[in-house]
Amino acid sequence: MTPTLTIEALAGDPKRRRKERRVRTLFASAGMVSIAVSILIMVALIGEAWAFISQVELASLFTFGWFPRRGFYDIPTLIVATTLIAGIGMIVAVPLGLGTASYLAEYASPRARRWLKPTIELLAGVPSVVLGFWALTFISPEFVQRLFSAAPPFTMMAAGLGVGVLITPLVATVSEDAMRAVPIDLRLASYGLGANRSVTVRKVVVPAALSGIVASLILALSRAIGETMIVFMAAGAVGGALRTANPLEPGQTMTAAIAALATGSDQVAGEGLAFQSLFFVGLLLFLITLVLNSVSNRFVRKYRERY
Amino acid sequence: MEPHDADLRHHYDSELEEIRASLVDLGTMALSNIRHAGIVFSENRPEEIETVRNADIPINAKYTELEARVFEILALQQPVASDLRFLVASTRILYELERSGDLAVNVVKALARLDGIPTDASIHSAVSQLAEASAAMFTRGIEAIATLDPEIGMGAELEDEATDHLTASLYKLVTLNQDELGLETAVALFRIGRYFERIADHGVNIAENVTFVVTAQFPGEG
Amino acid sequence: MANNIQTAHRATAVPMKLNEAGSIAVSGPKRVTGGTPDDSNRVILELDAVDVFYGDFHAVDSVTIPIREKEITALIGPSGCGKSSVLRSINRMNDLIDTARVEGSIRYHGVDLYGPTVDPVEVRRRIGMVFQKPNPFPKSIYENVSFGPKIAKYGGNMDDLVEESLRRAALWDEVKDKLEQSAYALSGGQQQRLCIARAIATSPDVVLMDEPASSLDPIATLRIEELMFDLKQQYTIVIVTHNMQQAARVSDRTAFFSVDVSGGQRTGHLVEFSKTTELFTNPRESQTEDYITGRFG
Ligand SMILES: Nc1ncnc2c1ncn2[C@@H]1O[C@H](COP(=O)(O)OP(=O)(O)OP(=O)(O)O)[C@@H](O)[C@H]1O
Ligand SMILES: [Mg+2]
Repeated sequence: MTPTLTIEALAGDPKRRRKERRVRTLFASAGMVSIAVSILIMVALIGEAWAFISQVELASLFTFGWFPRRGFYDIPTLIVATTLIAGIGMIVAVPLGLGTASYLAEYASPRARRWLKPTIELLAGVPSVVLGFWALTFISPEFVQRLFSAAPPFTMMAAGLGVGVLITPLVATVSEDAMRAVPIDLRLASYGLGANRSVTVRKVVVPAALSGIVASLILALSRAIGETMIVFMAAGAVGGALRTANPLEPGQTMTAAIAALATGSDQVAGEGLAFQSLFFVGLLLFLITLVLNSVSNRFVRKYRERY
Repeated sequence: MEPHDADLRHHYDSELEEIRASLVDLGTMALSNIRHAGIVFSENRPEEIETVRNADIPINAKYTELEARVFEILALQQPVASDLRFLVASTRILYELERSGDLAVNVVKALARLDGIPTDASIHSAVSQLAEASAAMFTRGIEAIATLDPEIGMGAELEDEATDHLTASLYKLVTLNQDELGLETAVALFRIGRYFERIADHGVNIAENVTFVVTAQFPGEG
Repeated sequence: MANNIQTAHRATAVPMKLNEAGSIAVSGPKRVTGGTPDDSNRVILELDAVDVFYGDFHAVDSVTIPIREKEITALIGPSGCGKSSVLRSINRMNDLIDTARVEGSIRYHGVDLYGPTVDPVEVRRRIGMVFQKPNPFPKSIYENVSFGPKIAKYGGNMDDLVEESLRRAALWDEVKDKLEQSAYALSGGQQQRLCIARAIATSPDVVLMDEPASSLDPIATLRIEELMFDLKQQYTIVIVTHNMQQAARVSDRTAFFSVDVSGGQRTGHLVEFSKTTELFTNPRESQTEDYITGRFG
C-alpha cells in the first residue's frame, strides 16, 4: 500500500531548512565583508588622494623627477619607469611564456610534461624578494653590466628582466591551460586535413585558445605593474629618481614609490604632503589595474571561442 | 559483450518460431483438405463437397493473417541474412499453401459439375493413386518446414517424378477410354490430373524454399 | 523501394510505356544505390596483414582488405573490435597516438604508406577524414572550408573552390548567404556536412569516415548517406558505422570485425569481407550472421 502524499511530506524537514538558512547567511556575510573592505579601501584612497590633489601645487606634479620629501611629485617619472619595467618584463615573458606553453601543450612527451609543468609552477611560487635579490646580485652584474659596461648596479633593465622572469611562469601556465582546453577534435581535424604540427599550433590551437592566452598576458601585465619587491630592490629606488626613459639608469615605479613612502625608508614619512601623495599614486595604480582588467574582460568576451 | 554468449532477441526469435509453427499448422490444414478432396472425388461422395469447400475458408483466413504478420516483422525488425531469407521464403510458402488449398476445392468443384463419376475400376484406382502420391509429396513439403531439413528440397524434384508418371498414366487411360467417358467427363478427369500434379509441385516448391532458407540457394542453382 | 513507388505514384509525369520488345520501360530519376558492385574497379588501397598495437596491447590482428576505387567500403563490428584503429592506420592518424604502432603493410596505389620516405602529412592530404562528432574549427564557414587548401598553398580561385566544395557536400544553398558566420551557428547535421566539404576541399582521393552520422537525427543521417552516393562518383570512401542498416544501405562491400578474447587480450580481427549484398543476405561466417541478425550477446 502506498501512503498518501501530504503537503507536509513535501515541505521538508524544518531542522534541515533552518540549517541551510544559517549556512547561507554565513556565506553571504563573508561576501559582504569583502565588499565592505573594498569600499573602505576605495574611500580611504579617494579621500587622501583628494586631500593631496587639492593642496598640492599642480606644477609640482610635472617636474624633473620624483622627490616627494622635497616637494617634487613628478608623476610621469613613475609612469615612465613603471611602463618601462613592465614592458621589459613583457618582452621577456611573452615569447618565453608562450613558447613554453606551446611546447608543453603540443610538443612535450607526456613524460617530459610530467616534470616540466610542476617545475614551472614551482617557479611561479618563488617569493619576489628572492627574485629581487637575484636580479640585483646576478642579472645586474652578470648580464646587464657585462653587456653594457657603463651601466650602474641598479638599473631598470635589471629590474625589468627580473620582473620578466617572475611573470613568465604565469604566462606559461595560464596559456598552457587555455591551449590544453582546446578540444583534441580540433587538432585531429587539422591533422586530418594534412596540417603539420606547427600549422596546427599556429592556425588552430592558438586562435582557439586566444581568449585564454590574452587573459594570461593581461594578468601578467597587471602583475608586472603591481610588482613591488623586485623593483624596490633592483631598480635603485632610494628616496627618489630623476625622470628618465633610459633603462640603463635607476628608476622608480609607482609601487616602489609607495613602498618607499609607506615603509619610511626615505626617513621622512608624513612630512608635508609626501604621505598623502602615497594615496594619490595608489589610486592611480588602482585605476590602471581596473582599466586593464576591464579591457581583458571585454576582450575575452568578444573573442571567446566556444567549442 | 562476448560473442555467442547470449541470445539477444528472445522476443524476435519466438516470433519467428511462431511463424514457422503456424506455417506447419496451415500446411496440415491444407493437407487434410487435399486428402479429403481426393477421397470425395475418387469415392464419389458429392454430399461432402460442401465440407471441403467450407474447410478452405479458415485456410484462407489464416493465410491472410500470417502474411500480415510477416509483413509487420519485415517492416519493424529489418531482418537480414537467414532471418530475411526465412521471412521472404515464408511469404512464398504461404502462397504455395494457399494455392494448394484452392486446388483441393477445385477438385471437388469438378465433381460437382459432373452428373456422376465413371464406374470403371481402373480409372478409380488411377485417380486415387495420383491423389495419394500428390498428398505425399505435399506432406514432404510440410515436413521440410517442420524439420528445416534442406535435403528434402534437394531431392524433391526427383521424388516428384512419381506423381508425374501417375498423371501421365491417368491421361493415357482417359485418352483410351474417351469414347465411353464422353467429352465432359474426360475433360474433368484431365483437369483433376492437372490439379493433383500442381499440388505435388507446390509441395516441391515449399521444400525447395526451405532449402533456400537454410543454404541461401535454391536446389539446382549454382 | 518505398521511395520509388511513391515517386511513381506522385509523379504522373513519369513516362511509362510499352517498348517494342513488349516490356514496360519506366524512366524517371535514376536512384543510385549500393547495388552490386562489379569487380572492374581498381584496388587502390591494400591492407595487407595489418596489425595495430597500443603499447603492449595487441588491438587488431592481421587484417587484409582490398579497397576498390570509387566504392564505399564499410567497416562494422562490435565496440572495441578495432574499426577506428584500422581506419586511422589508413591515413596514418595513428601516428598522433604516442603508443600506437602499425605492422603489416598498407599500399596506396602500390606505395607502402609506412615506407621510410613517406610523409604522413602528404598521406593525409590525399586520404582525408571525417570524424564521428562534427568538429568544425571555431572559425567562419568560409575559413573552415578554405583551411586545407590554404595550408596546401592552393593556387586557384579560393572562392570558387569553397563554393564547389560546399555544393558537393550539399550545403551550399543553406549557407551561401552566411559564409562569414561562425560554423558553430550551424546545426549538427549541417556542421557534419561542413566537415565533409572541408575534407573534400583538399581534393583527396580517399575519404575516411568514422561513424559520420552517429550524432545525427534520421533525416540528417539520410542526407549524409545520399551525399555519400554522390561522392562515390568521384571518391573512394571507407566508412566505420555501428548502424548496420546504414552499412547495408550505403556500402558496396562490408568488412565485419570481431574481438577475440581467448588470449586474455581483447584483440580485434577481420571475420569476413564480402560484397554488402552477400554479407547481408548470406554471410559466410556464422559469427557474422549472429552479429548482423542481432544475436550477438
Ligand atoms: N589511443 C589508444 N590507446 C590505447 N588503446 C586504445 C587507443 N585507441 C583504441 N584503443 C584500444 O584498441 C581497441 C580497439 O579500439 P577502436 O577504437 O579501434 O575500436 P572500435 O572498433 O572503433 O570501437 P568503437 O566501435 O567503440 O568505436 C580497444 O580495445 C581500445 O580500447
Ligand atoms: Mg570507433
